[in-house]
Amino acid sequence: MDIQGAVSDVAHIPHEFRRPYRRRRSVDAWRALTIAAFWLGLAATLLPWWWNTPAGFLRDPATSLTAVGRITGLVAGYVLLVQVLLMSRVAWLDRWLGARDLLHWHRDLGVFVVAAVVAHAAFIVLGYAKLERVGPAREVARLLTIDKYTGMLGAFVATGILVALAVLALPWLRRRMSYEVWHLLHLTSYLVLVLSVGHQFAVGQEMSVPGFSRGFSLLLWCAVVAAVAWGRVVAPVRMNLRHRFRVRAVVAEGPGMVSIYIGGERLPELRVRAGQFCRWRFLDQHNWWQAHPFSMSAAPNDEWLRLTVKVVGDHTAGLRRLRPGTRVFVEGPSGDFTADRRRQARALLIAGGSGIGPIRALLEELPPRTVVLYRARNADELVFRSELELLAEARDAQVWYVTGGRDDPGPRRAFSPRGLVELVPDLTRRDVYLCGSAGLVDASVVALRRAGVPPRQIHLDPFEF
Amino acid sequence: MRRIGFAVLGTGVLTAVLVAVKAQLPPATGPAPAAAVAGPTTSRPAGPSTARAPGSARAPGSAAASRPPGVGVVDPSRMMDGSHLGAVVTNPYGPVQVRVDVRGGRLVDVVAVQLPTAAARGIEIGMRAAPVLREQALQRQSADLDTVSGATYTSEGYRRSLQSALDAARTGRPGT
Repeated sequence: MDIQGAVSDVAHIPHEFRRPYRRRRSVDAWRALTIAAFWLGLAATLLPWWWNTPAGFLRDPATSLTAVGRITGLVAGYVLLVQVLLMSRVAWLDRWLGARDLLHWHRDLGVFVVAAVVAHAAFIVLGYAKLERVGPAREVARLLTIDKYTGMLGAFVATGILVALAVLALPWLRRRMSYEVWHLLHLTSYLVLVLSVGHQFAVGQEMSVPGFSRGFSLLLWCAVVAAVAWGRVVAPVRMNLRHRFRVRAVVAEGPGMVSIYIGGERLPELRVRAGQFCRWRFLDQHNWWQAHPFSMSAAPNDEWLRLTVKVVGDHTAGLRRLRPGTRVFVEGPSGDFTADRRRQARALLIAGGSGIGPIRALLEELPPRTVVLYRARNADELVFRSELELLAEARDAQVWYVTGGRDDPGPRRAFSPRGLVELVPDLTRRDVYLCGSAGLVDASVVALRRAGVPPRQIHLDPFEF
Repeated sequence: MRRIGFAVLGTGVLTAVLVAVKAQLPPATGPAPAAAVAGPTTSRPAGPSTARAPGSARAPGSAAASRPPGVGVVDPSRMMDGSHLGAVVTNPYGPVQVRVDVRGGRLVDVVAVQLPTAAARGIEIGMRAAPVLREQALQRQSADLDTVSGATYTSEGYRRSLQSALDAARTGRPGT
């Protein structure tokens, strides 16, 4: 099939526009279960401390400080493992918790881990120093030099790396780094895990002894390592061997917007839903070393996958020069920005700028009488117009284009609570899917909440542009 | 950002509460000054799992229990001949208990009846520390011992148990 032709003549897009009306899958129970498992794990981590610390033992500041250090250490070790698990990209975590929540929790827990590790180190050093009646500096030297404390050097280095990463993550430093540099630096946090494991099992008060704590930790470690190996290596390799993705065409959509069509073998068997994203690694000499997450801009079909990219950085600019036939290594699909997360019968889709990609894809899988609100700076930047209009006709949907800057009267009015209700009178009985710049999304969420849309009906895309 | 604050705060509060509650609980085995040593529960070995140091063939608990409690004539400077069992002092590695042998008013031997067994490392520390501490005790004829480096808890427990054993030897009260 000539894809170039297919895009200009939308009638040839190999979609079945009347897709089956999918029921919402019950993920709430799984989600609750996953969160409960997190707290249970935390309790199981701390319980041995409670059992094994004799009553009446914490009489003086020294033992109390040490005890605080032990508790924070146990918590930090546990949360560090959870951190790695959250980013292991195993499919079920993504399905139950959602890519957006995973990302947010990973970010928040990351800060927390640094705080916990620093507290652990500080309290242990202070406590031991008081017990042995030496200064803290002397105590650090003792911990590092006395061979009884196996693995302490690694632990100190790991703490250093963690603190350095935390400093680099400060917004004003983070903004000066490109995504690639930050990603590479961030990968050193695996080193933290490796370096810290030694002292946990060698001198950890609870874990150095055979018993519940040690068994539980070992189990957790094995589970996390298995999850990472599966989610990051085995599953993607298996999928790519099966489907053998290749670039089929690169098509300009509008000013600074490019669509990349990707073909492959056995595409009908690929389990992917509209609104999801993949990490795409284009295996040519310029792009092979980096993988970037992009949403798909069309509902999956048997012929191709399509991603639409706004040209903003070096990487995206390079994508315009991709040659048909280039191999693509795909990881995913992931994300819960999908039609089956709906709670109501109807939906409202709000897109801003390049956020139209997943919205355009979702429109295909949502039931009839969906409303689309699409904001762009000017009419030239509206992409997929012919596709949207054709889809609107085929699926009995309504598409509103809102053009103008964020502070122009038109968009301001459209994205105010009153304006939204005027455009979509049954707003509160709809699910709202939002994708676009952070400014638009934040403002819209505020307006939607004011208009009375329950938070559970608001769905945000996994990326922050 | 708010969630991070809650998490850090929550962990801080949790930790403080755990430590505070643990500290407030009444001690099960009294790692205690001499006055608290007389409680009968304190002389019991922690359990059947505790390994006994070489040289303590008989069960220490029975020895303590067989002596009738009573008031002896106390010469604070002189220790009574015989074997006197110290209190069980529990630390996170396990219990520490010593028995002293007194001949002619002098401390002639200190036997570690119980040493920490909680961790392989605890045993190793105890095995290493006990002879050093014993040597000091025999030399100084008192429980005023230096802490053995790397065996802080064990040293402290040894010191306390020894003190209570010496008190027993002086007061004539049954061991511990």
